[in-house]
Amino acid sequence: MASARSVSLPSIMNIAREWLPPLAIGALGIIAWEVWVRAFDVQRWLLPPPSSIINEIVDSRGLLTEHAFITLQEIVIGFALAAGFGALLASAIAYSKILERSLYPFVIASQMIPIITIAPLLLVWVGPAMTSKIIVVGLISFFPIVVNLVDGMKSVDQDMVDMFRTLGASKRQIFLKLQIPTAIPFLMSGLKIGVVVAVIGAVIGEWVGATGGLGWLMRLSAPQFLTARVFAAIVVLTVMGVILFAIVGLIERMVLKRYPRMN
Amino acid sequence: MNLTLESANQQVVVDRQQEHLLELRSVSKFFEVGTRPISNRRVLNDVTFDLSAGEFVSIIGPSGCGKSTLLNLISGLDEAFTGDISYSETTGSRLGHISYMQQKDLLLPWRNVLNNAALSLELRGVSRDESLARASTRLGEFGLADHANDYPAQLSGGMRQRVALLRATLADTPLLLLDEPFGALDALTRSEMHGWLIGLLANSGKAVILVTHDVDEAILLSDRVYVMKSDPGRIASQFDVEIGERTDHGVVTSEAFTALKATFLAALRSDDDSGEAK
Ligand SMILES: Nc1ncnc2c1ncn2[C@@H]1O[C@H](COP(=O)(O)OP(=O)(O)OP(=O)(O)O)[C@@H](O)[C@H]1O
Ligand SMILES: [Mg+2]
Repeated sequence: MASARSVSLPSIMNIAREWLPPLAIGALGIIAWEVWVRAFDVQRWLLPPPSSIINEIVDSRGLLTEHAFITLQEIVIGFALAAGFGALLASAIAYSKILERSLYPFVIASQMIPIITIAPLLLVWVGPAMTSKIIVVGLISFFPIVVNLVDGMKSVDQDMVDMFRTLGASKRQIFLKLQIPTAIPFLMSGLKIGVVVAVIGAVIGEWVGATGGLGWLMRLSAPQFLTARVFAAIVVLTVMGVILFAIVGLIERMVLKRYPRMN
Repeated sequence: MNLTLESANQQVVVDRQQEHLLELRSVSKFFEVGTRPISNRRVLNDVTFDLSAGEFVSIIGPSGCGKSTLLNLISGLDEAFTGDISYSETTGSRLGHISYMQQKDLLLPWRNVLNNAALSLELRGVSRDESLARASTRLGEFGLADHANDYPAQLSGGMRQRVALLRATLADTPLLLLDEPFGALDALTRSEMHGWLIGLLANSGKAVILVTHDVDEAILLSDRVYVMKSDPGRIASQFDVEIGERTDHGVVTSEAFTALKATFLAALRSDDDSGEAK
């Protein structure tokens, strides 16, 4: 950790070494794709070349931005709700044996239900507006958050617990001042996984029925053979997902400086 | 009817009133070892001793003889033992009534030095501001004044031990258990800490049980030293230390000191522990 911070000039080299290989592979893949489509004269509606996908992104940037914003809203709200409820649920499970035994099985069982079968039902229950998508995002992303947090809260070092006990700490004090801080790095791992599945959740939710969003746009464009637009939406969605992941990763890095993992 | 009952109760109270701060009677401890068949391993055998208020005793003995186990029992952390431990401060759980500095420093990595030290006050219901204020006035004595805002990862082993010691002493209980508190300190700092500990304890009325591997340290600081042996862990011999004024650094080289040290090392080495050397 410390050594990474102290370098200055070689860090440019390090960054290059880190980013060059994936960029090179990506560029090669895109070139190969372009060449393949042109050489074999593949139908545009079957597989558009990268150049026409880029054109599509530029041409329909207004449309893409509009729907990306809808999807982003669903992700952010659903994810925030999942983090909030997940933290409460994990606290209850970690704090009380009885609550653990009564709640945890349902948390696990909830993940056995394929989300794809729930999504259409939600549509029937709450309508095609954004709410049903937010619920799907929440349902899919709360699980990694809860599981990681519970693990974290339970991973506390028994010697530390004993130290607290010799100082006369109550169970509540041990929970607040020891278990929660210990679990913070675990929470960050949970959030990272959670944000990735949240993106998937939003698209699934929109796919089965919506009035907007990138998933809805893809669903609508495919039957019209607007394949370039489908790919354009995928590109935007991917970039959005990567940025969200990077943001959570950045927060994690800052948080871990203060709350390191204890073994 | 009521009257007689009351006086009878009073009688009991008077009878129970122990003159010692701490009394251990035939304390034995077993650990379950192995799986199927589980066997019981006797780690402490029939430990009996008394400690009066303000007394300083040291326990010295080979690694693995059960010193930390004994402190765990006394502190109230471990309640699974046979025999009897009574503490005049409370008849209930001793947790929170005895300060215990464990062998590991057990500092919280997310708290800086000041906040780590203040934890013991915070857990006793002292407000956060007040805890920090009280802890910060003590940092100087522990040579930590310049490190109030450092995190444990930035500290040397010796500094970490001093933070743990400060945390334990801030709890302000009549009995302090110290499990090799100066193990990671260099000779000079160690001697400084000895001086400091003597100063802190003088006229404080606090009793201390110190576990150490350092014979000099035991003689220098203690009123009484218990020598433990292993398999099973037991008190093999005890020595009263009478070498005069403790603040005097010359004591370490005095004749009485050297003589005591010689007896001591002999007791540690000897296999037979029948004789109570005195
Ligand atoms: N939880 C446990 N289960 C089984 N055996 C244990 C347990 N804890 C300690 N022991 C055993 O009890 C014995 C005494 O341990 P203890 O830690 O009290 O020794 P010690 O005198 O403090 O040693 P040291 O000077 O190395 O700290 C050791 O042999 C150890 O292996
Ligand atoms: Mg020990």
